Amino acid sequence: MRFFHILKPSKAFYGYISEETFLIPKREVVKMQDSMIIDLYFERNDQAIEETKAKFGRYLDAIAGNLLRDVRDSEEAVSDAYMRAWNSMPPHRPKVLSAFLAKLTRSSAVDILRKNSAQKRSDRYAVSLSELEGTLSGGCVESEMDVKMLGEAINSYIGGLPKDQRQIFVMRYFYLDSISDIAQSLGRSQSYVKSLLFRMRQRLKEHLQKGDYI
Amino acid sequence: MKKAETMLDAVGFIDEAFIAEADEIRGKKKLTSKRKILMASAACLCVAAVGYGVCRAVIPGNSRDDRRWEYYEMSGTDNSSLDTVALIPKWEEMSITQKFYELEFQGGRYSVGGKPLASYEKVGEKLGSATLSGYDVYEDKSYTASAEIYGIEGISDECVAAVKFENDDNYYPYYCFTYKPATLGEFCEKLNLRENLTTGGVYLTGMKNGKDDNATIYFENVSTEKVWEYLLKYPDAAAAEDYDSMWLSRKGGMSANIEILGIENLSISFSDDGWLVTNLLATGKAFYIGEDAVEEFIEFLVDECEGVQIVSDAGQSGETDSDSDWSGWVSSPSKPVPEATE
Repeated sequence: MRFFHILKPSKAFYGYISEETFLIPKREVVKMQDSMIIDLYFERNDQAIEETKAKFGRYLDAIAGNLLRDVRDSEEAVSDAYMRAWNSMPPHRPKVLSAFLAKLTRSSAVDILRKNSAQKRSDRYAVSLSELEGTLSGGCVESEMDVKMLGEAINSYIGGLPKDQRQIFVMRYFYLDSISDIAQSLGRSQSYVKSLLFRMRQRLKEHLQKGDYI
Repeated sequence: MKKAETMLDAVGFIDEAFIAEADEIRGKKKLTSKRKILMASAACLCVAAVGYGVCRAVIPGNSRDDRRWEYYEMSGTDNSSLDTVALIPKWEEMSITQKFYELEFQGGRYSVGGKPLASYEKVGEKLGSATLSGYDVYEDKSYTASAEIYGIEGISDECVAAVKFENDDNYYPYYCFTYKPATLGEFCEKLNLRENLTTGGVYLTGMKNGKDDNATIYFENVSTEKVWEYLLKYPDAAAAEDYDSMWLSRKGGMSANIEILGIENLSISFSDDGWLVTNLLATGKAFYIGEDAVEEFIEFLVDECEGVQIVSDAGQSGETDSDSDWSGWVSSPSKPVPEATE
């Protein structure tokens, strides 16, 4: 458990001011270990949500914001994710709490996107959809069970990829990160990322066809 | 349910371990140098524009930690990455290089650099012809285009080729991203960086400034000659073989420009543990110049150059969470986090 203080400067342009000028009343933040937070959920302790917010709030906001591009919608998605987390723990005990919460947030955000009008949907969502469209061409997946099986097929495909390629795939299609953000994270060109994604989609399509998923 | 939406839902079932694995890379974003350089450059422009010509050290001290820097704030850059997301244009709206951005030629793979060459006088002899492939993501169609490939005077075609498409008068530089130099000297020689490279202001991160021990200090007036004198004078510095798997904690860096190729605002950066890193030629490359070399350069900056601490006012109402794995997503990397006095 670590303690640290959060301080911020108070004026727009400082010139030279004595250092005390920059201090504002300090705030202490206590960060809990993931296992302790999960324990709180299992104890049905309301503090579980507060601790989750303190540790992962900004991360989850960023995930929802990536998909929704709307502050209110994002807040709704994250709130819904907290509720889903509360409802699923127990019995579920996630191995990686951050990733589990990320999945819940993404799922909530996608639900909100579906409710939204086409005009309100983000460009990023539209582009990611259009990229994935071809991967499932000819396929017919209707039920939730089919979607889950398809998810498992995708898991088996990306499980066989080199780590760096798998990371790119997840960043693009799970987090819906932009090509430029991915390229920046990797220190690679956008062309490199685009071409790699293109090849991965082609191979995923072959993988799905081979396994009779589509 | 539409097919694409089905796929998007199915991706939601990705294993949590893979999601956590991707987060490792996403966290790196806060350390990428390009954004810091852009921010530093923006601050520099602001300084010039509003006439804040007060970039001087206030209390020069004997040691690095004693040095005090003035503060300069910039606005509106904090969430820039969220505002710069672009929709992939329709095929018919794309430029020729957007359509055909990758070239395979003489065993190397090249990607487009962007702007056409500014001066055709530098176009060298014809090296051959090639067919480039493109893909329309909206229509799921593939296309090809024929082009002539030329060299560029003074620059090795192992690194860069000039591509001239049919019915287009321009020569576009394509950078070889499969080229792997053995040493820093080879890299500098093949790009003729002695003549072609210019660098911008230099930033240092993790600096102490008063009570702030994580300040970003920006030095505007550092000549390219000084960069050569301190960082690029090691021709035998070996290139990292496994750059992609390296975790480099950038201590500082600068923007790098090669005007002849239309390269602007790429970066040269350096780490505490002695690595010089650049993204010139579209991919990252690291050369080991040694910790002493980096330390000497930092000492030169601190002792002899004038700098300012860059402060972002964006997101002041947000938290500054130096211990958070996710802080790079929403907070400025240069936001000062002074320690509290008890």
